[in-house]
Amino acid sequence: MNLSILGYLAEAIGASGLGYLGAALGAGLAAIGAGMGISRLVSSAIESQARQPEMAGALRATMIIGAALIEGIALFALVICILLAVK
Amino acid sequence: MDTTDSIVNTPHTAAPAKEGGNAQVFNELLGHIADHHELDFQPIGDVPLPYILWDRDGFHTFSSQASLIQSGIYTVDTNGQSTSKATYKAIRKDGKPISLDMSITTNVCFLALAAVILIVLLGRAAAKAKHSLVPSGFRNLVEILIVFIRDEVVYPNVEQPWGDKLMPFFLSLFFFILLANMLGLLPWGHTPTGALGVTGALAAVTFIVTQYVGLRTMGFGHYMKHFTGGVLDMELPMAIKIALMVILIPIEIMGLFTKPFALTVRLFANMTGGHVMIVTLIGLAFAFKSLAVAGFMSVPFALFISILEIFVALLQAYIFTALSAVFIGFMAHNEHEEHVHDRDIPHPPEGDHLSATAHAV
Repeated sequence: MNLSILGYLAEAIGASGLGYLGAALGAGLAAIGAGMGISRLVSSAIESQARQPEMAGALRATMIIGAALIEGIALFALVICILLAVK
Repeated sequence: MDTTDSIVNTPHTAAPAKEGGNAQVFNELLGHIADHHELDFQPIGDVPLPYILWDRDGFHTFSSQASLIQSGIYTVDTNGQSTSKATYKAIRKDGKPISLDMSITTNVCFLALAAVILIVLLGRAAAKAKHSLVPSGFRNLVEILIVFIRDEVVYPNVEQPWGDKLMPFFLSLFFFILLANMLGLLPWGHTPTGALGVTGALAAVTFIVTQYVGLRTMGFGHYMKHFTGGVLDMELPMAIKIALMVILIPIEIMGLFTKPFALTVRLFANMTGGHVMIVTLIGLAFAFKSLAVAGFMSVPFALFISILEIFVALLQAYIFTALSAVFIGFMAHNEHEEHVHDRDIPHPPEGDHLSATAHAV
């Protein structure tokens, strides 16, 4: 019985376009999360570079790799959003 | 089954026709980003690319989409959208599956082009190095990039026996991705790295190299042991160890595959994202049908994003190489852990890098 309710819900969501709403909200939230993460990362990196300019090169490399990893998580979320939108 | 399909599909097929002009324009423009079956030299014309299909009857080759449709056996899957570009996949008219679609698409063309350019340009730069040790001209540029990859990316991350052994791999990866990214920024160009198949294959190569390095440095036993996340070496009761392993082993195995998946999606999304932005900005001019929007919005912003994309092309090539180096570095490092600790403990920490910088503060 539960399954039939889920099926009904899925059909209703598909018909009403709520999936698109979910996808758009999800993409927005993922962007907010990634933006906050990268902003904290970069501000800390700049602060450290100002304190210890001799470490700037190593910090920059670490920062870019960290930013790429954060971006990867945001992209995972984005893939789920795309799956919702094109389903 | 059939009826539900038609119900689901009808709004889809009707939508572009109802919205008319705008959807048509965006479809047309997005067709340029997608993989398609012709080379675009637009004011002059298009060069059709061959379809090569393999199914139960054997190989079938067609020189263009028109001759494919003329054949009567095959047709194209328009999926309810209409563009003038040959973006469609071939399907059989009788509904039987096509086993293998080996068509020479734009992606294949530009991948081959990138490989040829790379071999010719880098080959010439390498040939120059035989005559004199002093770099000049194009060799200067190549050497700067190679030294950067070696000293900033590979050596800090990958330990020595593997660092030098895998240098050709990292350099090929970097230059190939860089060139593939850059090809899409040329007029009439196409970005092969804007396709999941291509980035997935690149990530798969990295994945295989990572596991190979892990197997060679750790040996089979330690390689299998690292899936337990180090629980076996902890001093815990056996029951807790087993309970932890039940949780950790699936996570470690998932972690094995999320890394190449993240590499795949990151490169794909970054390369496609910029192009979609440009297409959307150019499409705005057609959507508003206004010269002012074209002059003050579409063109300047599209130009700005194009310039940004040059930077992104370089950055993503660097990030793909750097993350590959980090992942491979983890695997190359594992074996030495115990030995390094044994050797380091008796030494006084004066030579230690961290304590030296702490002293400076």
